[in-house]
Amino acid sequence: MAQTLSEIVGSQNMEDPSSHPAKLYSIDGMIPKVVLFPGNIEEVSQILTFSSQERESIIPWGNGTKMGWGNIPSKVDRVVNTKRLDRITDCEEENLTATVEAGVPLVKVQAHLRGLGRGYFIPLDPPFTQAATIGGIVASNSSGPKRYLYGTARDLILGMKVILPNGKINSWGGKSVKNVAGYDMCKLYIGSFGTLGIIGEVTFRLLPLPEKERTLVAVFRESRAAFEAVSGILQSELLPSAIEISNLKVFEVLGFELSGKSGKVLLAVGFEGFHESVERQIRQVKERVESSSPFCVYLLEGAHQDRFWTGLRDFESIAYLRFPDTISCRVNVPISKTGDVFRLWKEMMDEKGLDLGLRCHAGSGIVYADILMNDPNLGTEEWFKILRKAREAIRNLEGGMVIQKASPLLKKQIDVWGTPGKDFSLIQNLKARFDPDRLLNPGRFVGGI
Amino acid sequence: MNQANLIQALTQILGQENVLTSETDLAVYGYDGSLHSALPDVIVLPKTTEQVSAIVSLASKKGVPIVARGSGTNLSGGSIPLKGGIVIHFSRMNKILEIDIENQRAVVEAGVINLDLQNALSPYGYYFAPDPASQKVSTMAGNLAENAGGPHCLKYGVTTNHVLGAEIVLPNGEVLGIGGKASDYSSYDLLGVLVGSEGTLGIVTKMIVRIIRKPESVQTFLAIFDSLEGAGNAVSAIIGAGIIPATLEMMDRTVIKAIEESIHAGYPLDAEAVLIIELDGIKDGMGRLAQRIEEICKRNHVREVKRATSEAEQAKLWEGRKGALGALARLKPNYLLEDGTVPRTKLPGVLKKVVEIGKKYQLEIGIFLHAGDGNFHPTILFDARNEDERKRVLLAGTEILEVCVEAGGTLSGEHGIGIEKIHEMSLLFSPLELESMRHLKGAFDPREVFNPGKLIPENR
Repeated sequence: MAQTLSEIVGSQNMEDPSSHPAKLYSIDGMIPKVVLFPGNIEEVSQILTFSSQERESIIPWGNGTKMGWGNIPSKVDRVVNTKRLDRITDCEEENLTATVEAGVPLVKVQAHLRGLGRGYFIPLDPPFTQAATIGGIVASNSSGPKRYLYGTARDLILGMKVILPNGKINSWGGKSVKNVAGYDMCKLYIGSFGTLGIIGEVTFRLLPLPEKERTLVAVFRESRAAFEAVSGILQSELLPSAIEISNLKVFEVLGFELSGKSGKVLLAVGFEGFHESVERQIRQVKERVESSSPFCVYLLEGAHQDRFWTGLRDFESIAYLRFPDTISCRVNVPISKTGDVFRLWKEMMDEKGLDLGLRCHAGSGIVYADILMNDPNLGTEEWFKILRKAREAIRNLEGGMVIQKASPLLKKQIDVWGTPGKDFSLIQNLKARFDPDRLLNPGRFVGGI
Repeated sequence: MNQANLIQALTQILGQENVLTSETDLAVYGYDGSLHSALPDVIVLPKTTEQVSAIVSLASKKGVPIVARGSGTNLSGGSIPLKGGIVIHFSRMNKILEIDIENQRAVVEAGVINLDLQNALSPYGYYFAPDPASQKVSTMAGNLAENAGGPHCLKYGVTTNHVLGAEIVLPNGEVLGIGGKASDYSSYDLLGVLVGSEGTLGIVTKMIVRIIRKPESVQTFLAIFDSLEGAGNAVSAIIGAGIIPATLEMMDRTVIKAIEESIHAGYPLDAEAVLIIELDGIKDGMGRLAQRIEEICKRNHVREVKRATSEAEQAKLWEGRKGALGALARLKPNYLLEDGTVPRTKLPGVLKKVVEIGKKYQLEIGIFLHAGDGNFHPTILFDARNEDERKRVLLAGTEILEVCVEAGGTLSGEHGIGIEKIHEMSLLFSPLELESMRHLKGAFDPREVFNPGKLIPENR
């Protein structure tokens, strides 16, 4: 076996992870037999062809920022690391498209696009700003605050090259925004956690860099007033790029100095676009927010503004460094229920006396709850109850909850994705047709698929 | 199951008045906006999801094909009952179930007409972004099935970007809700593949869609050009300058003439091409943007840029554009409407080739384009009774699609594959890719009950 794999990628592009002292390639404590670094999509295809014949499972891996997500895999044989799929294949900035390989960090693509012509960007701002790769972002359908204006990966991807579990290569979509030739197959690979194929290359829709960006930040005494302000903004003619509400714990962890310390909740509203439009909107949103009696209001731009948004975006990675035992949950609900979820989490954690970082994309119905634990006194049984309670309450709000980070011990007791919905038989059908031997990321996604 | 038994069973589910079998009915439901036709065995008009489910279970057990149909405006043969069977017509499932402003959603039944939803949303100051030219008649579920576009896609995206949930009936009759009022549910993106699946994966009975607030300001311009090339270059230059208007629509001389003869939208008859450029959003800064667009047009030898000064004038300009196909259709008994899409930057070159193809086959072709998207509609006018002309039309059509694919484009931007472009699918997709599409179909509808013979060429 070793010989054939080394013939495909070259022996210098293989690693024996058991010899690795830092357990770099451990997934929930499971160590793969080998880590492979293919240099192009053709090599990925050969690895998958060979592995499917041998019934060896494959774990796709980018920069590893989200390898803790998902259920515990049922089988970990080979890791395919996309690090060497690091080319920006093609940029047609005048056509507003860019094609990049899966292993390129988004930050690198953005830097490249900024320098092209008048300056462009991919309107995605997911967490792990410095490290997250294109493949990982797309496979996990990762998004950030600006999704309010620009949408998520499914709105921004025009084409994709994928490698199927049997090694066959498929190209989907193209370079146009409108394309209805056949099924929209790209959608199958966004957010499916590498369980249907390995993403090799992605074509994105670009936008010209905005002329101007500004942000309003307001500190409120309690969350209700902040969410009321948001509801007013959502129904106004304003077109923000992001609407975020966080509790002050988030900013304490990030080490941001805020003079409104006696407040409890922070609202941030970002605007970007043409100069005149941003100036007028920031004026208007300030008047609007001030009428909701905040404790204080700031306006940010330039470096302060960049630092603010990057910090908020990267909160979880910063929190994990300080609190390695953090349990993270991600909730999706209809927009108007966001405040209910915020309060639900706050009350539950106040009751337990636990520190909690709460952030939400208030205009999109997404809430992140990070339970920051230095010394978890609660047993897994207790956690199981808490998470189940939260999940039930959220289901009643027509939403769902994913546990993004938890110890393997806890993950053994609870499906991090929640109980599969009625659509699970269709999901099983799809998995069975595309990956009949369950070789790609087995066990990690919904219902242990 | 024989015909009489099938009809009897359907009558039991729906009542006699909702089961149509007369010769006239069969003929009426046998065609759509394409060149194709085929007769169904029976047409049913359900009022509820439960009835749809019962119809599907029945047909599925007996192996009778089912085609779901909205208003039959399909331009690629998607609503033709190619293999006979049952046509489910959704005209009686046309209720707007909920307008939920605080969650920015509307819940509608499958047969709601796009424009009826727009009119219902208007008093709230909201709208549904997809605005296909057929919106006066086309249904919401039809828009979903075709992933319909429209002029405003340039800025706002297509139907798939605005559908959040659906209630669907699967081939075994099971009713399944996918997605919902929230986004990012943990699952495969079944809704994402359902949109644009041309009724081959599931039958949609309800939809949850995103609604957005009307922009505070809309400015519409008509830019008049003395050459097609000038107009094409202006489009590339506007996008290249970092401006993404709400729409960038283009029409050539043949289309202008046809529109002016029937609608009188105020387009100049001696122009080679016109652009409708619309800006929307926050009013501040829009004047500066308009000025920049005008400068870019001037650099590309525009004859004149006119601004619509009232809502009535805006409506007039749009009436012309939205009536383009109808106006063209008056000129000759038949038309073949193509729908290729190419990278915007390739548009001027591709247009030139299309004009050459028209000359080569001695055919009259009118071209209107969603130019900002690179999506163009060459419309070949002909008389199907002239056998020789009909042959040339089909050859020209295929040649135009080949030009699109060669330019790195695609077969269809918004009209779908249906029957019309099914043979050209292999120009774009490898046998491996077509096999993957069959896997997707198989996961939903292994026995090919829903809309058989469409979208994917048969495995040979």
